[in-house]
Amino acid sequence: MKKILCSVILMALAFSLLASCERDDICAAATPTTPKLVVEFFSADNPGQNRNVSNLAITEINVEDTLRFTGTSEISIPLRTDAIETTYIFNINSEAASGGRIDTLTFSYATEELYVNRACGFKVNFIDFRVRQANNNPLSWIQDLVINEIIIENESETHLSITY
Amino acid sequence: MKSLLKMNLKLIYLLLTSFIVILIPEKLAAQNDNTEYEQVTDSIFYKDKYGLTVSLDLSRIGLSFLNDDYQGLEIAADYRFSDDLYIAGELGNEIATYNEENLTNETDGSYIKLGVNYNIYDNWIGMTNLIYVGFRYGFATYSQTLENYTIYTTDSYFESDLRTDSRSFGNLTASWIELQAGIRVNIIGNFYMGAHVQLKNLVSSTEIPNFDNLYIPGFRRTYDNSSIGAGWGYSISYLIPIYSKTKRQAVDN
Repeated sequence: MKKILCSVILMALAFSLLASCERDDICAAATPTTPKLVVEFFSADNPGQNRNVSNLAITEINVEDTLRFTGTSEISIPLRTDAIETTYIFNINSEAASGGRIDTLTFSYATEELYVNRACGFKVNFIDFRVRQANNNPLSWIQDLVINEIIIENESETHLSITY
Repeated sequence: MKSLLKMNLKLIYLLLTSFIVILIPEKLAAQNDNTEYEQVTDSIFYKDKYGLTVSLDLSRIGLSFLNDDYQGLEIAADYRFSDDLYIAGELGNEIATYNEENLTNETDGSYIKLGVNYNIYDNWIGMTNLIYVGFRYGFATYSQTLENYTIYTTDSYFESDLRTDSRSFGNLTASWIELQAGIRVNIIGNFYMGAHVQLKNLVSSTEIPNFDNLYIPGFRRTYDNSSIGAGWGYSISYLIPIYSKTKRQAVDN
């Protein structure tokens, strides 16, 4: 009786020590955290058809770095989590001698903080997502903007469609 | 031949006494005592200490000195209820800080654990060492303060969004069940040294809206995907003897 009791408890303890060795202090890459804005580009000439961008340079008005995309019809860009607006300058054909064409888009939203886990901390979902295109712009290239999702909570859906 | 004769006589004597015991037990009680006395030559008597053992957890004191993120104290006591069974409990206080890349959280609170220890070790005569398994029910009251956290992004385009508006969550409670296994060895006089490991399963804990219980005093850290916890301790103990039981143990001739 004593021996059985002892061995059962020792086994349980050994198992628990093994189980508790698993690290969960590092945020796993697969964990869904703050989603980026997923933008898909469509052709104005062939409605419903994707159109790849060439040399699209995207710069947030307060940041010096530029995000560059080329040869793709779907991009994802981050939104500010510490503000309720993010304004990006979309410069297409940026490598051209003329400097390409430019549109300024302002994304506005409300942020919703959500606890993820001890390793990742918190994430933000963007709700009530809206977009505004700067007016009176002779260099404009975007013809149509469609918001597909007003709540941005993952990166598996397209949130915004741009037709040009 | 001689021993065989002695054996026979003993058996006959036993037979006779058993008849007497069955027939007139009350009147011959005194004589029965004599039979017991007869066996003294085959046994030894010793005193077995019963009392209250008070322990101080050394691992928590050590950790408090070594680790800036931890401060804790635990006092334990057990009372020897019967030969192998001890009624046991622990009382403690802990302040533990979880300080990692994406959040810093401080847990502050007290706990009590109550249960039993069962000694599975057969001591040599006169010794009071223990190898035991135990069961506890633990209960903690505590508070958590989320001191700072970052909004986690996989992208480094914007500077990291660190939030430092600390948030406190008070009046939290948790309960758990715990298995213990340990050893306690008599060092000198009534002093003992002990070590034990703990395996526990969280039964309940106050839900915190949009946050979690990262550390529970007495339970130690929690895990995101399981209710299991583990712990350990080293202790120094002092036995306050309350009474002794005279025990008799047969000795092979």
